[in-house]
Amino acid sequence: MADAKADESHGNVGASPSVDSRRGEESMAHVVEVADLHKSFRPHVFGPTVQALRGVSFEVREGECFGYLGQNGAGKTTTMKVLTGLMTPTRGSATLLGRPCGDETARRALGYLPENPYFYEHLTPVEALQFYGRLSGLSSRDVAARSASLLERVRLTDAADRRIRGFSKGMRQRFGLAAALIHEPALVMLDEPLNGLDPGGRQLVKELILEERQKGRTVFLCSHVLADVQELCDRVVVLHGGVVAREGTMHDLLDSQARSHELTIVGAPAELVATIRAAATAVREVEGVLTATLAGPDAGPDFAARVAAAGGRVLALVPERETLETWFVRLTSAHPAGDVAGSKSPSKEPVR
Amino acid sequence: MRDRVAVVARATFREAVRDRVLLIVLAFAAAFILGSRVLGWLSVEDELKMVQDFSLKGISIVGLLLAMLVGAGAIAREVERRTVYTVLSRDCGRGEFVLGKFAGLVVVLWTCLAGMAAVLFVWVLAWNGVVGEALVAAVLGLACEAVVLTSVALFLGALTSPALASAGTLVFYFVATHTEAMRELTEDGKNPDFAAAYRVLYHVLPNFVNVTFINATTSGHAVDWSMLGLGAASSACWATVFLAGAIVLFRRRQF
Repeated sequence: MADAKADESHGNVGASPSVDSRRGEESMAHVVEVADLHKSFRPHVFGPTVQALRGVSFEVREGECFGYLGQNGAGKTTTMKVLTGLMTPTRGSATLLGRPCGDETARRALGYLPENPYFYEHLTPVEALQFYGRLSGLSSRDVAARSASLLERVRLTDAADRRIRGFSKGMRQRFGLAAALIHEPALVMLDEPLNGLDPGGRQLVKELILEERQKGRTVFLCSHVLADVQELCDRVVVLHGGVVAREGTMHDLLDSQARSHELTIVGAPAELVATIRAAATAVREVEGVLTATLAGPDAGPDFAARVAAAGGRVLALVPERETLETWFVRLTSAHPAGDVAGSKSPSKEPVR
Repeated sequence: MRDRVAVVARATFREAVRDRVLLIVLAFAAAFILGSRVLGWLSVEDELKMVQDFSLKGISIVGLLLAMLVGAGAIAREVERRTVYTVLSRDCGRGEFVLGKFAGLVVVLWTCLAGMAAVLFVWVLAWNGVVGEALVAAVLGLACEAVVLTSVALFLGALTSPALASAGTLVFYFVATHTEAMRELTEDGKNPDFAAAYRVLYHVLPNFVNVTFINATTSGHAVDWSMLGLGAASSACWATVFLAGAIVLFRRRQF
């Protein structure tokens, strides 16, 4: 408790999970708990009611990088708005750090970067960080001390005195990340943080997310860039038609076995080459170098061994494993939104 | 809580200053006040009194315009630009946000008012006039008016679109500045039923008569400071009611 007080006196309002555990809140195993969440609303006054969420339930564990996936309109942003207190649920419950999501104390431990973030255009990043930091309960001195290093981390030091009005989309996105982290929150919630970033910017944001995770922060990531989600997240939940369609770790969900191999050989006997050509799903030959795509987990290594035994050279044997993206497309195309949405107890089994 | 209200208020004020709203309004008001001299020359009455009367009414209208332009759209702009997402997802209550916006806007209006009053005072002194207590009371009354108009604009802005909120604020101003005149009109005995109904309505309708001292600057009567105090208290009550309404509406809002 004394430690927690000391942290608060230094303006560490978000409190890291380790601080929380020192506060004796061991019972709080989940940073986010969502149970049977429903949300329906009318986008237009006289329009039909939209059921954005139809009984969503999931948990986010302390210290993990959690991916929240779904197609456009699946209900991801609605869930995030409920969690951040911007919307109230129609039914069900959602808690942040054991408190109801609308609770102001719970929001103190939350750093949120909305999709396509907008900030006060008339402010400079330094002034805006003062604004957000002070709103989060930090003293001006604490904000000033953190701002410099944070702006350096998001590579905005050179633009520290320029107004946000003149920022590019990537700069805004990076500033948004700095604003979300200024109060060192226990939970960082990022809605499409890689949107509009160039390759360098994307790499930077990914590094920042990994750094935050290494510091023990819980990261709640919502992104359409599934290659990045696969790289960053420990566990994902797929939302489809307002319900949880699948949930699990990357290992659980994705087939770890190679689905096919790309074999590149040279100098193999003609008979063996003919056999490989017949077995391959795709073949190309350039100046005697044959590259064949062989389906299944075993065909590639088998043919590679036969080529080597027959005196040929194996230049490459590249396994092709299922990616989160191919898995996601397979899942969402196999189950139309209505089908999955009808399921009250969504399966947690991986799609095979 | 006070800290967060002050942080939002400071940001609101800074935005208005950097958007050069104050500069434009002050330039307009200065031109208005200085131009009033022309009317003074044309008037058969005391030139200086004419200048004061015209300028104070001008300041009142500029305050109304400012409340309509800045106040009515203050919340809608935040929602439209989605800046509200990054504010309300923090440890900042919706009530604190509305109070901060209100405080910031009131400071903007008061700063404009102070600037315009300073120009008017200098102008009066330059023409060998005296900045008497009536003039000071009139400016203080306008400050009270500004508080009420800001709260009305904010309330209507939380309820409807900025355009309708501006129109509503204009209607409120018109009613509040004519409630007394309407009572005098209905008491002429031509329509006793309407007069009786209006007598009831009179106690419900907003009324700026207690904070309007513009006539005192020209009539030469002594200022009744207790009346100004009553007017300030009445303004505070109106502002509290509208602010509470704005907070209730904003708390119910889904983003």
